[in-house]
Amino acid sequence: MPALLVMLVLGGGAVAGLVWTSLRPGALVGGTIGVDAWRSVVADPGFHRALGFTLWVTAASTVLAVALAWLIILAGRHRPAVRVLATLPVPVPHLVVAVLAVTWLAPGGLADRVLGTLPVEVVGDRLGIGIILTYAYKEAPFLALLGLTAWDGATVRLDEAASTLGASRVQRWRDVVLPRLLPPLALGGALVSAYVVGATEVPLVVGASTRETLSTYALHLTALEGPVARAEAAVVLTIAAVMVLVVAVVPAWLLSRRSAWW
Amino acid sequence: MVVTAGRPLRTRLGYVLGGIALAAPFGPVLLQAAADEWHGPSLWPQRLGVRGVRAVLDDPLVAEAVRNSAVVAVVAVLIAVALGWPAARAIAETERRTRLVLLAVVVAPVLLPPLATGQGLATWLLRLGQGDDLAGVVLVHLLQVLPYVVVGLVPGFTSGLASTEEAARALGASRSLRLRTVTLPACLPFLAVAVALGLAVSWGQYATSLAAGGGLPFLPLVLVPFVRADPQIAAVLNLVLLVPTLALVGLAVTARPVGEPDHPLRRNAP
Repeated sequence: MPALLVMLVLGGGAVAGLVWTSLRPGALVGGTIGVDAWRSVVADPGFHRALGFTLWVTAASTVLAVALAWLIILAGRHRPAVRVLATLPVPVPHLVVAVLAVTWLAPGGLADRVLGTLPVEVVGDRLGIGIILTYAYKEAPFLALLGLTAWDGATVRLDEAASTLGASRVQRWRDVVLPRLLPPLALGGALVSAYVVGATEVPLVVGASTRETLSTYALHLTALEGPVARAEAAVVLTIAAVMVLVVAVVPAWLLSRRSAWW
Repeated sequence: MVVTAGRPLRTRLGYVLGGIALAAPFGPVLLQAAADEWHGPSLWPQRLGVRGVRAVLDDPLVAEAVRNSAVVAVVAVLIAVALGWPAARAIAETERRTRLVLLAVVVAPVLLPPLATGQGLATWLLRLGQGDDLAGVVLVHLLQVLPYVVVGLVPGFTSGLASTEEAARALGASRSLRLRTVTLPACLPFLAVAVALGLAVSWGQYATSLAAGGGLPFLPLVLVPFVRADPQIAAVLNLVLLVPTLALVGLAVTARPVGEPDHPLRRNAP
């Protein structure tokens, strides 16, 4: 299948190129192989701050998006319109939503004007609240769509059968609905986490310049001249790629082994 | 219950209200794009005008960025459809578990940080002398676009298409006639959505364009500096960035499988 071959070559080539650059600063002009860039990044406090901030933003965004998705699922499980409407924001580019967030939430923005003033700083804040809200707004419909798809006719029939057999509301939720909904939501949450770890646009536009995620940290390194900075950026991105594997691929693999949803 | 054309009025009202709720946050972007003067704390611009649109139209860098983004998106999507069509067909026709594994392999590279795939491939592109070339950016975007095109096309090849094609073959239809009269009409809605999805994905690529573009301007790259510097121009560019998504939403809302009784392709059928 040519498409598979292309994906394997391009994906594998990208990873190989990244690792190669990280191990050989100045690869294009004949630099020597070594782990100096790795040592330099691991010892850099800026990298540690970026790593911690990335983990915080990823965890908070995912939890908030899943919570919002639950609300949409509960509101829309008997309303087909909600399912259709939930699909609409999914293809909107993250950059568009980030600009939208700045228009609404920046100091002097529309939210400030409507409410008088926002109780907390949201755009460019040190806690990354603006970034987290932007991701939650963007990703919740995607997660809700996965949940609503799982809440299909089979789930409804199982729920009705459990009810007929005398199961209480709590038992039906625990033993019927949650086992049907949790796998797609967990998988979706893992995909959202993976995206947040690696994305650049939202933290760049909505975040503070002094609080960097791994991707914006790498972006600023690539903006510096010289092969050493480029190699260090490659190190940071390689670490981000490994984090993506951990937060997305491992849960997906575990779910594929354990869940009846597949 | 009031029923209009087979659908309850309450459901229609739900769609309208939900649509308004979804579109409402985007309203101020339209207003911002048309606000030549808008100081706080006013909720309405002091002066409306077309300064933002003029600035965008008159800026040669923006024109080049839009041209570059459009060329890369169209070429990447064309290649993705050529590669993705047989792949989607093969994936759709395999059994469920193999299908999931194949889809996972096709989709997996999208999960990698875009800046990582961009910079990783840029290393090889620079060695090949394609570091500041649109062809290199097409290649990097292909990695992002192809999975979406395949995922968009797969449903088109399920739901009994193979048996309809087999029936047409048994009735003596040639390969090209089957493609023209059976396969394409059945897959057209999915193809349209896959193309629009691919265009939207490529059109909005920031990190990959930056990493592999070698300093060439692209629409998302010229937008970001304006977000703080000139919100009106940023709003206009944001609306331009939204165009393929709006096309996709329009297609998703209107596209229906050819099997539906009132589909235009079936209206004259006996």
